Amino acid sequence: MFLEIKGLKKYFKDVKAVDGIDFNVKEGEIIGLLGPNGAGKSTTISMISTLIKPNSGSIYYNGEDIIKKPKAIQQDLGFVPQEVALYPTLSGLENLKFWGKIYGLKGNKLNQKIEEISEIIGITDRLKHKVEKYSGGMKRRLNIGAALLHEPKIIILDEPTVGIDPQSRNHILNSVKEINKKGSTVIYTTHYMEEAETLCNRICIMDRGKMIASGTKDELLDLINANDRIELKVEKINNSLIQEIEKLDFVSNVKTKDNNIVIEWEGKNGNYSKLMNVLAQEKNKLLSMDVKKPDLEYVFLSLTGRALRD
Amino acid sequence: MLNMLILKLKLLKDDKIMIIIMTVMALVLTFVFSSSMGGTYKPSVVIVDNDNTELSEVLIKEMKNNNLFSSSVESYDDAKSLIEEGKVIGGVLIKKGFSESIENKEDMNISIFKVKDSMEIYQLENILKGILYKFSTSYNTAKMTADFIEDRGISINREQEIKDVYELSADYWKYKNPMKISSQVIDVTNEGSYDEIIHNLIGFTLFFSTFTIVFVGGDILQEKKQNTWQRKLISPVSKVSIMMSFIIATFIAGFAQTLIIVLIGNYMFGVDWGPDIMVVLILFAAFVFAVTCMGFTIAGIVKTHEQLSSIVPIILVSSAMLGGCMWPLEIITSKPLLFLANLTPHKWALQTIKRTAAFGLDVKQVLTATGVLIFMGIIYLLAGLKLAQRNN
Ligand SMILES: Nc1ncnc2c1ncn2[C@@H]1O[C@H](COP(=O)(O)OP(=O)(O)OP(=O)(O)O)[C@@H](O)[C@H]1O
Ligand SMILES: [Mg+2]
Repeated sequence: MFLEIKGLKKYFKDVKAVDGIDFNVKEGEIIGLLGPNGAGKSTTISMISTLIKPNSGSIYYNGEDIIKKPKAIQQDLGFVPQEVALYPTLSGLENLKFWGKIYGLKGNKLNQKIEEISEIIGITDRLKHKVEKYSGGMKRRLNIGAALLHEPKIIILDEPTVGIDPQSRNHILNSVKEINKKGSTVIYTTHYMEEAETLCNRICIMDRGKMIASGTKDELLDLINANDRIELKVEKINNSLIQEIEKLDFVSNVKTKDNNIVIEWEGKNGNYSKLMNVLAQEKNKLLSMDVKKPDLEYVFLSLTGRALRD
Repeated sequence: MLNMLILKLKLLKDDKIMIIIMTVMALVLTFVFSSSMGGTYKPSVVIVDNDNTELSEVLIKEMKNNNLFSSSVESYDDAKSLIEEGKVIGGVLIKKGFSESIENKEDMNISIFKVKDSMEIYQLENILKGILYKFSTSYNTAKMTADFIEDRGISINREQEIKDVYELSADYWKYKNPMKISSQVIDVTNEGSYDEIIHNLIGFTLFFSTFTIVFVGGDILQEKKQNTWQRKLISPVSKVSIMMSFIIATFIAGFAQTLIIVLIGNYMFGVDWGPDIMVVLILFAAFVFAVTCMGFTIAGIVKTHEQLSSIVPIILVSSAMLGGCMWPLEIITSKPLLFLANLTPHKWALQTIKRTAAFGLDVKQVLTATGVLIFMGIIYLLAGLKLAQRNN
């Protein structure tokens, strides 16, 4: 196994940031770590990147214990921290040069890699400018670029798209795909489920220091037997209406939420009119209707009873 | 390692304003303190000339040239009342027959009048002795030269010849002061203000360099905040070389600052750093090393740059005070304070640099102080490393 994590724990005084998690990373995949704020994503990857030591558990990289031997992974690792970690008073070029050299690049090879990477992250024309003059999105892109120069075998990105414009965001997502195509394994943490869905081959869902589920998107949806859902907003909710809806044979579950009725059902064409008929019989008026395909948000909701985003 | 060191040196440009301010402050304060405390105070004396010869006038000229006292010529009665009223510290009375006493190499007909003995009167006596010695020797040399030339049968304008030779001889002395007695006197009297200049210069140099050092070293906290520290930690470079690059860059910044002040001190304040300026620089370097390591420890204790900015001035000002940077330790009598002074790097650097400048100590003679400073540095370094480990 490429990367093998077992029983990993990290407590900060009484905060159980990471509370015994297991997962594996296969070579060449993009694996997503999805979880809300404070789930323990950053703490987990800080341990993988050898920045902090776990209280217990093990991390094996290519069969080597990197808790005992951090050097075994360091040269192979490209780490993109959640916060921008660059020298603001130096230019983009100076920053790239410095981080490249740290990983042993020099001379022509270094210049060539800088050219290539700045192309990928799209900052070629601003290389000579000071980083403090960059926009938030550009800083984040450079932050990623600095981790890519030495052609790392494994790249860890910690919420690289938080708080930036959609354009930069797309650029970053495309860059990640491109890097992966060139052969790097990617660990991608995020609390945007859309990103995890579109980008990752496999997804690990974390919450409160625990790994609550993992697998491909479909596997995760199967896990909770997710059906399609429809959310109805009606004038008034009453018991007989709910009972009538529950009687329908294509409906598997009905819940109320404020003024809304959330129905799990088989969302086929003919079924819509049957549902509307019930409303008409009950003399209730439909204000709005929202059809939902099951998604990771819903998986998270089902598993934890809470929404992924606050 | 080299890569990181070069980067840190590059980043010194971010601290350049602080470094410049600290350098300039050391110089400005040295200048202000030295000129307000010493130097400008000149006791006044009066001269009474009852001889009224050409020779006595030359003597008066010499007295007036002396810049430790300001002297004026008065009549005997005026002089007496000025002294009695305490407007001047004393007077020099050139008695009648002074000129002849010089010509005949008799005891000089000159005396000092004073109301009471004081340090200043003592200085005046010494200076007068020095001037008279120089004066009579030069005068007699001139006369002998004239006699010598006349003996050879060469006809000259005797008066003019004596004057010329006298001036030549006096001129020569102005720079050399070869006579033991006068040079000693001049040294003693000069010491007050010169000593103050050099003490202030060294004291302020040490004091302000500590700010540069601790704040440049404090950039470790800045790097932690901007996450570049963490990013370096997970790279293949070793932790020790990351820390060493910080320490070396900080040392270079601190030492460069002291070096500049040492050189400016030499050219601007006329500070004489003794026969071997290297010895002085070795001591400054050892001091900068000790404080660099101290800064490293402090940066391990505090968590943010803001905390650093608030506690550092307290630490640095109090250790500089204890170490005698603000005033000489000689005026302190309290045993506990003097004991504490020994714990500051400042004391060891200041005293030894001062002595090196004054007595020209060589490398061997400053070994103890250098050793103590390096030892302090190593202790701090170990403490700093321990703290850095614990923080992880
Ligand atoms: N150095 C630390 N000291 C104390 N508590 C910490 C430390 N680092 C993290 N924590 C706590 O551990 C928990 C997990 O934090 P972590 O940063 O790993 O979450 P995260 O999933 O990355 O969240 P986010 O999406 O906000 O980045 C949080 O409750 C956090 O407050
Ligand atoms: Mg995080």
